[in-house]
Amino acid sequence: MNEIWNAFTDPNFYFLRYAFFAGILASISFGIVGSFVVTKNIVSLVGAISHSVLAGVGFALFLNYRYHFTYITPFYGALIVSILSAFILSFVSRYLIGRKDAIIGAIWAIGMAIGMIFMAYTPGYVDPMSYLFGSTLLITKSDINKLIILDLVIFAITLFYYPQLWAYCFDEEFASVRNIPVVFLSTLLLVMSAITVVMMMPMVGIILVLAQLSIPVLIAEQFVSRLYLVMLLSTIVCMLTSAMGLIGSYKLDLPAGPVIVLTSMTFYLIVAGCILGLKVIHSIKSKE
Amino acid sequence: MSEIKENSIESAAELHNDFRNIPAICIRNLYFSYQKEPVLEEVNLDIYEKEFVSVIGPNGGGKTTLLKLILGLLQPQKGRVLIYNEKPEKQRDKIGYVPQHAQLDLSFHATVMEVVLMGLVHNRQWFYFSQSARKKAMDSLAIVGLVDFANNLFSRLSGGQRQRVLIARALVSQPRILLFDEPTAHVDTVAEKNLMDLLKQISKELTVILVSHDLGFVSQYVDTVVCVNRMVQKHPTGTLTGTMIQELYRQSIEMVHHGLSETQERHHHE
Repeated sequence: MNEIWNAFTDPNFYFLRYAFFAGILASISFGIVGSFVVTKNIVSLVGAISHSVLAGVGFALFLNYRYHFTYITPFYGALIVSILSAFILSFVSRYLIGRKDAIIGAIWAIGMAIGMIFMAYTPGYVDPMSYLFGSTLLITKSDINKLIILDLVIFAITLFYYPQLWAYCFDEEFASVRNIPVVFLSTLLLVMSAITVVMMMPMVGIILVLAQLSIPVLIAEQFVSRLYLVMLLSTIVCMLTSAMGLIGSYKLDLPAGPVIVLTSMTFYLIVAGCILGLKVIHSIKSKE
Repeated sequence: MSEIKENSIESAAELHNDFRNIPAICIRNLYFSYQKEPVLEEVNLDIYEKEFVSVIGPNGGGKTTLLKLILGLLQPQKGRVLIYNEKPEKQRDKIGYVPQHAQLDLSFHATVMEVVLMGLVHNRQWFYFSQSARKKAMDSLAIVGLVDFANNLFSRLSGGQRQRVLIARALVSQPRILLFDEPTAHVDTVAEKNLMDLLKQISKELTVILVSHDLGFVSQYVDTVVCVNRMVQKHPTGTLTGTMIQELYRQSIEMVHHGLSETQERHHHE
């Protein structure tokens, strides 16, 4: 433990501190947005958004290195494309008749393909792995500031629209009958998810972000039932797994993103196993 | 069915005279299609205040489409739907809607109180519900006999109880029209009877419209039956004959009335 503390306080290991704070701060948005996403069963939509983000990253890198157009950084490229994807997917999921699932899957893959093509045209070597699976070295102090702003915005939106978002997630048709603007709310939720995904991109990457968005919620749902409590507990679980995953990655000298996701998964399996075991014991006792 | 007709003494006109002659719902020359084939065409229908109506018809005949047009969830391509002389979107505070409980995602953990309070959510609703809102929710739960279940999880209730909670959710905003989509689907026979008794009670105060497959059962309760199969016809319950039903469904069907099939009913009378 001393070794980790020393590394944490070492001025040369500033990226470790940034990664730690980024994980803690991102967990707030993850817990809130993840709870809505999981309860509304739109994880696949958010998956399509997160994967299409690579198109924005690739395009920004291409502009940066080929034309020295540095006004759009990979972060802002990702942000623009993610929000655009959120609007497109909101439209597709609501108004398109027929094979919605296939189209969502296509958007998922097309975004990645565009991103890889732009990276291929970018002069020099660009490693897509750090964007796909995250790299704590990419986290900067300005990312921490952005995360604080994001948390405040998501918290404010949730506080303002909680009953409407709750109603939209529980029974969309009835919410429409109550004149609740469900089209606006569904787009808002996807935009919130898109921004959250981009903010967490340096930490866990755009491929693994889905797991960290949904697994803490699945764990929280084992203990509490009310949506706001699920948000609170999944935020705490997300903070714990981010911190533990980061420590694990440092100790084992492994990339942080995959270790964080596997830590969450291990947590979930332990919790689900214990609950299943208790149910079995209870049923055996009741039979006796 | 002939027995039903013989027992009837009310014509459509007489029945309407019983109500206050205010059309709660007025539909004129309605046409709607999803693709090329019309789902509903030339629909003219008046439903009066405090009328208890069952909407019947074959699958794909347009029952649910008609319901959604009345709710304002779909827009007519021709003609108009008016609720108290206004478009449905403007009169939604006057409409309560009860979907099938089986349509809801039971993995969403919500308490009975939260579900009922959803009936009071509006655009400017803040995070917290006031004491008066909670009291209204409890009053609604009292009507459906589920006050003691306020803090229970909705997903842990039986099918009949869940349907009652959804009725309480629709009632909490004090609507004047209640619309039900197959209220007795996925509930057992006892719960079905209890639900229909409850709806009969509610229909004394409100206009109640329910989409149902089980005409034989609901005909004991409702005043009028709206037959929907692309076109729409409205009949007082007692004037409906087996032939009409067979024409509506375009096939020979066995009518069940008062718990007896038509064949059984004949034997019973013999």
